[in-house]
Amino acid sequence: MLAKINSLGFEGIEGYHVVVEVNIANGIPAFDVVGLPGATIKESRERVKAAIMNSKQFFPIKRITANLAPADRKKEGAVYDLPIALGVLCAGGTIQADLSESCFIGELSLDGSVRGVVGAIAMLVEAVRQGFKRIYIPSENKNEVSCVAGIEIVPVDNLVQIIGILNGQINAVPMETVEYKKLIEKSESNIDFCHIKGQFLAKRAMEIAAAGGHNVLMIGPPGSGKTMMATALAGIMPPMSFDEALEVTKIHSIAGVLDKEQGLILKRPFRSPHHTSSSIALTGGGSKVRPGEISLAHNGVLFLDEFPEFQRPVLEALRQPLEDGVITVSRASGTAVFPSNIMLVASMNPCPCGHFGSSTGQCTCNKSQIARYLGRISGPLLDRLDIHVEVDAVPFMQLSSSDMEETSAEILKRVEKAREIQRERYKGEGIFCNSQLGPEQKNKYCKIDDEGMEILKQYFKKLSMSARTYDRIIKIARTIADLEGAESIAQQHLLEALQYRTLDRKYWING
Amino acid sequence: MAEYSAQEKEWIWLDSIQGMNPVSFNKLINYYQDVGVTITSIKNDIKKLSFLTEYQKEHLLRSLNQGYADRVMELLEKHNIKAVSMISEEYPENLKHIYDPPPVLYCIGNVKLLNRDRMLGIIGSRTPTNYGIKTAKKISEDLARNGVCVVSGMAMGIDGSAHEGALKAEGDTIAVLGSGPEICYPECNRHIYNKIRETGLIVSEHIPTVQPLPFHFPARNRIITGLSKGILVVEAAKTSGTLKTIDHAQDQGRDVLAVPGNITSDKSYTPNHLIQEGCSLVIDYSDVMQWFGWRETEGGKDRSIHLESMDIQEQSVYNVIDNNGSRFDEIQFRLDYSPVQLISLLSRLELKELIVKLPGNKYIKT
Repeated sequence: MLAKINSLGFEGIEGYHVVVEVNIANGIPAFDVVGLPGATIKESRERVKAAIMNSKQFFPIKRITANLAPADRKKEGAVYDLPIALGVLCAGGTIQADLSESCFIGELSLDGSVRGVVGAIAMLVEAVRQGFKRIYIPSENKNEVSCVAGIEIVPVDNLVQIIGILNGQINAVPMETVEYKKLIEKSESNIDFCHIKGQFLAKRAMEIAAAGGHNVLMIGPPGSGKTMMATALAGIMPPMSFDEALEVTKIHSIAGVLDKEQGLILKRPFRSPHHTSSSIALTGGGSKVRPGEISLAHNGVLFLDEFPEFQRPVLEALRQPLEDGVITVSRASGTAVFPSNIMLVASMNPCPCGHFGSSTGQCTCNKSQIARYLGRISGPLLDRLDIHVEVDAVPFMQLSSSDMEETSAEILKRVEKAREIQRERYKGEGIFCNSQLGPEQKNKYCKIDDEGMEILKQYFKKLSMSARTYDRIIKIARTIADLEGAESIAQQHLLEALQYRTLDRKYWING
Repeated sequence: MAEYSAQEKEWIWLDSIQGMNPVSFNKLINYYQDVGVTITSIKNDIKKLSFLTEYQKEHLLRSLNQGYADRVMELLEKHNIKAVSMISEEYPENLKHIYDPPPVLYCIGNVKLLNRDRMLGIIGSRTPTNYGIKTAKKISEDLARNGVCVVSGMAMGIDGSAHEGALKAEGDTIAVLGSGPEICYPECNRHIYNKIRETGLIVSEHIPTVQPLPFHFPARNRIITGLSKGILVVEAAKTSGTLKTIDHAQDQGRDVLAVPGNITSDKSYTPNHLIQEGCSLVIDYSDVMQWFGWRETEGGKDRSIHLESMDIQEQSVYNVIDNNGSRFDEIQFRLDYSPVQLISLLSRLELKELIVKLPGNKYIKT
């Protein structure tokens, strides 16, 4: 007897169709799983057998062979417990139903209950694409897939229940999908910008960064509020679109870090790995290829506190994914492509002791120590950080200012408007924000009048800036103009942008 | 290639010998005053030269051959070094009259500068404050523009700033090193070293390949003061190496001038005390010119032209910036402009080179 059950697998963040074939033949009783199964799948024989028997169902004492097609793809995970069990039951005659338009995923417990799996959403999206009518998923995974439309989703709790459903004894209750728009909530942060007094330059830099998707480097003495600023930044990031949210949820689902209760991820991710993290932890990898921090922060913020304290190879590993927005991780077990479209926010002290140029402490470092410290960040990496801004706590301001500071919500409104302008402008270009502008697109969308050109020329001549700074300044100026709703880049936008390139200044270390 | 007389070659040869110092050198020269030092005469008399130490004698004997002398000359030629010995006409008159003048000066650059009339040493802390850096640069620049040759030690801090100021004015400057003249120390002043080689003069009492050892530096300070008419002290702490230089200057009868500073700043302790003790107080370059009776040749940089180039808004921002620098938040607090407007205004002022931005979001007038 032969049974075919549809199931799914995933590689990277993309799902693919897997057919589980189960054949029962006469011969010496045995139970084999073939089709490049991983260790977890080989073990699933024991789970399947125990689960069927403990559910008081008939387990044929014959020669059973389960094949996972396509046979040349290595499969991992416990997703196939449920399909194999159903294959055995179909082939054994316990279930008599046409299952060609349904697919199944789920891990089995020895007592017959169905457990949640990682990557459910990635597989579900593939199931929709393949055109299946119905998918049976573990109840544990139902929150994460609640927004996916176009397929009937049936959450199941145990083997007995699903047999009942398939045999028509129990009515299947498909899940109701929730509309994404209703789910969406403004991403909130513990810290509101109105709680930070003064610090105008730093706050404004955060606003520009959020509006244009620019990477930021914050420089300041210890305790000046760099981390606070980064946390507050999460509160002014525009909400994600459904596709973005889906992508983020997929990645988190595959990495197994998704909160089962939470379901679809609605807030932009904010990841802040410690500076002792390895390059694998950041970029992704491992024997079973897993996404790293840079992919977990996809569509969100990757915050690297104490930037120069990260090992050099770790930082250099960030360069390519920052540029391309994707990272390809190759291991012996396979190759995976993870998206890594992030906004990098880094923070650092201005010198080893942390007080160079500070109003609150006296710096004890000499020039060469400072140069060495700053040298830990390579030029190419520095190039990818569009905005450099200094953060310095000024007690004087905090005491004397009675003005109400702007709230995050007010800033968010401006950011959203600026993002909207960019989305409109870059329709069909394949990009969403100013930070992604390529050289050709830059020339097309960032026109500068003669007066502006004169300013840039003077600036480069007098402050001996490098040519590569030029691009960054123009992109920042474009975002500043967008925040203002201005059509073209005007003088004042350029002049403002010039103040956000601190580390380019030659006298940074030369006094 | 530089031409040397036989006697000059003799001096260079003798000076280059390891362990030789100016005092022993002078004794040796005096001993042979009438006949001149020759290889054979030293070989014969070595036992009688009781004023030399055993170490000096050993090295003297080892270097008693023509091959050694030739190698020294080759080394000088290779690094483009001009050796100016005390018997040469180019040797500065001022320097001859100090207690232990270096017998030979090894120079790279414009040797004519050695005999300039207007020479001023600018010295000070190796770890100055912004105020010190700014002042040293400014005064040095203005002096250089008025034909004063600025002498200093090319160390970090005030020394480097003094040279930078003079170079900015495209004026003359001499750097006295504590190593062989072809070695740039500290490395971070490479840009200054390279420029001075071209337009100024590098001087050292050490032959090439001599490393910058710590005890060389106090000794080179006597050359800085020896070359100069006087010295100007800009910032030095209570226990600074600068004090040694001041001692040299006073021993050699050079005038000491000082730039006053904030009484609460450690770095201003020495100059303020010098003033208290009666040293001349210097506020700008003209005080120095007047003290030495030098006439202005060109006049200092006219700042009023720059000031006129500002519009009313820019002027209001410029006026609230403190002389010691003001933070962005402070400026914003004192003015009514919106922060975004203020950022643009600051950029404009920066473009006009009227202010610069320092670490810590601080703006300071140039």
